[in-house]
Amino acid sequence: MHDGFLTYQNMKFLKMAAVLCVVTVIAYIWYQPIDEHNGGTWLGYTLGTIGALLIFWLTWLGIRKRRYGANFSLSAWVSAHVYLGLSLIVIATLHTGFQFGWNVHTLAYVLMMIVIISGGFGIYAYTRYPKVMSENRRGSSLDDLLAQIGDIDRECRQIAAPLPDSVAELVVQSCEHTKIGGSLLRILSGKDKSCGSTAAFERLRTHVSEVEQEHAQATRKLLVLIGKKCGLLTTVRRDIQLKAFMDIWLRVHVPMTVALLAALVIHIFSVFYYW
Amino acid sequence: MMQVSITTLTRRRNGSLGRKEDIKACEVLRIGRGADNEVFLLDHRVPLHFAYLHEGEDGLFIEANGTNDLRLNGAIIRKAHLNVGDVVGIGPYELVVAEPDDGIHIAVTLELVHPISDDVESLLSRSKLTTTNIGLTKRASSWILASLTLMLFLVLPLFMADSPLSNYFSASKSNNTPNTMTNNNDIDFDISWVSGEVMNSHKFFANDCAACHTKAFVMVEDAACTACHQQQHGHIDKVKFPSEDLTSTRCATCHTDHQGPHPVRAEKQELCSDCHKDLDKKVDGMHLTNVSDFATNHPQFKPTVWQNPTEGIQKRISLDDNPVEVSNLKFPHKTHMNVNRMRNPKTGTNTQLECASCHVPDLSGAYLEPVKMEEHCGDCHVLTFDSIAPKRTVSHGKPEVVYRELAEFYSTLALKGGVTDKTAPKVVRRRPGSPLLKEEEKKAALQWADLKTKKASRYLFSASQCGSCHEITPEKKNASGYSVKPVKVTQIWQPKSVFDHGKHKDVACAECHAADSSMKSSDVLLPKIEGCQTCHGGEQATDKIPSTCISCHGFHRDDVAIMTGSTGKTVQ
Repeated sequence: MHDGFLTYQNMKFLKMAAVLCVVTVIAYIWYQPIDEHNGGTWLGYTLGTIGALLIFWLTWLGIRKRRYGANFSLSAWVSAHVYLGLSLIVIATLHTGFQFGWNVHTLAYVLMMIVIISGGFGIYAYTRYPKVMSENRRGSSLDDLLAQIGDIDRECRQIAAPLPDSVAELVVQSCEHTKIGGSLLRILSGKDKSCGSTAAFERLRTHVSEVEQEHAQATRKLLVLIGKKCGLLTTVRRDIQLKAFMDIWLRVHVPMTVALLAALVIHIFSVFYYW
Repeated sequence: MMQVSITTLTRRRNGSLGRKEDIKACEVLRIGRGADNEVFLLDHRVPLHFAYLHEGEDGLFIEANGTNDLRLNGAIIRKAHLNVGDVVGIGPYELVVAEPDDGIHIAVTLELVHPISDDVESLLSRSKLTTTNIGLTKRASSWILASLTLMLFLVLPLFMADSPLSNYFSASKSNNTPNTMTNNNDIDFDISWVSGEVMNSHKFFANDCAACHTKAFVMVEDAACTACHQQQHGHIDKVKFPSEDLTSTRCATCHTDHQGPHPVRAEKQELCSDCHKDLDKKVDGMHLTNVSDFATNHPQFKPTVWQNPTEGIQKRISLDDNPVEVSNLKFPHKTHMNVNRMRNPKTGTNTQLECASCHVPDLSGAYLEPVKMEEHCGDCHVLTFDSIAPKRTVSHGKPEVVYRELAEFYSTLALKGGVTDKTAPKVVRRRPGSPLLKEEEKKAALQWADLKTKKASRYLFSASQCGSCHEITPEKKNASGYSVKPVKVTQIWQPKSVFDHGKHKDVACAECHAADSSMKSSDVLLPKIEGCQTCHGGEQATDKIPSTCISCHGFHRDDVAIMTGSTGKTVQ
């Protein structure tokens, strides 16, 4: 189960985080500061301390849970990381007293929200995409799909050998001008607008009625094969897109966490430096 | 149970053919990628369970599993009888039915005829299937982001900005060079540390953090405030009342900044009521009453009223104790507000006087100007004294001044002559301007003047004239023979609070001041606290105007010494 950490120990950490949030909200409503709600009241300092400790601890958890083989339950760490991390949305937002500005304090808050949102996407990706991926591949592996594409290419070459150049040219385009993935954006889009196979398929479809009678059957066969290849390519591209989604969030989550730690330290330092 | 011979052919690089025979005993020969098949084809292009081969009554028989397609001698089929020499295509493999040896029921040869082609290789060489090697690694981007953040928001503000880093090690900046803030308001790198907009009145030095934050890691000290706010008074006499609560309270406890542009006035009543709710317990012999909330715990108003204007004695008396003011003025509000009693002296018609006819707001609008006899009473209460000069009046002043004016008037008249009064001696009735030659004539004229002066004086200081408003007593040592008791009318009944009439101008005067039924000027026409409480509630009021202590009262009192801040105490 990819989502075992969500229901770990009857959602112990969800309950813990929920209690923390409810207590925080009640305290926020109950406490009426002298001026406005802000990080500098005693409630602000309390929430800030809880928030900062949570951030440091959750970061340590993030490192710790990747050290496999140690004497701990992976599900427990991930569960705590996820739920307590989400509770920071409430704690840190109320710590700010909804006072935001163009300063290092709001920078720390924004970085924290980016970390939480990217982490939230990670939870979504890990719980949903494995299933979507196997449904997309319909039981085959990525290597299977690639091999099938290779087979189709080989078969197309064989079929196209006796056919006129106009058709053979499209087969070459399909075989040699198709690529999968490439740039980050192309992988993440799951599409390829300049796909050689798609272009060849479209041209072949309009061309099929123009070929001579003796080649018509072979050309139709090519059309079917390249059509099938396009379908396979769509599946492969969707597969690597999903795989990229499962990978890419961590490439936001981790660097943003490190930047957050830096901003958080500066935030704490600066507010006490100019107390 | 049938015996099956499976011969696997392998083509080597040098072109020779390798053979490997395997004998299996089974009911049905299963073919597929799964390890549970008898014919186990380890190639991803082959489905897990591809086909079944068995021997029936009418010979060898092959059947595809599920929706798989078989190729029998190039033709696509789902099931078929097999004869020796038949070629069955299973994905990239070819299965050829051979003549079985003795004791063997079925013999087949297997060959991988379509190994994974170079097309896949070339496709992969053009493609990039993972994001792993695209862009920066997580580690690299972490380092870059963290370094950028530290550089921009820590190193630059700390070392490049004019911060109190140096002050941390030396004396406070404000001690050395007070009021330098106006000279140093350039935007600096520590702008990124500003936690919120400063109040408007501090904006002219808002970019100079060190103007207030004089010492690193130390809360803003009062000295930073009093460096500019040099004339701010304290709250109590700290020598008489060395209250811990007040001496340890910083300016910034109440006056928080960086909370937006509005001027900071900490309005929470707990700031006051923390001390004032049980002041009697905190200070021995405290004369002030406990107070904590305007609606629920506030004493009755205690106006400061005159008790003896002659000796300058005022006293605070609760409105519950029906205070009587001794102002030495007679003024019935009721009479003056009665339209039937008031007549316009010019037109002779009855006139309704308004409150504003006499009570005019001052420039601030908060208070009312003092009522002046000449402006507000003089139109009707004309200080004339003799029918021979019906327009001649005396000043509204002290009896001696009035008497002198009368004496001067009549003396001048007597010496000038031309008086028309038949009862007057001849000498003052002579042709005006003709000189008085004899001493007796002069004497007689001045004697007449003296008589007239005394008569007019008696008239003016009678109960019907000055005496209608003033307390007149005979005073022999005065030339006039009279003395008027000094008049003191309270201007501000509640000097320890601020009442803004301007904010209440939409409320009719009579709503609060029962002037139309007051016949005596000793009435204190101030509404009781219950009157205010019909509209004003305590801080937490939801059905009335929430009013806190500082809605009416101030913390800084002008009668208390100026604060200094350096020692946290007021100068005595």
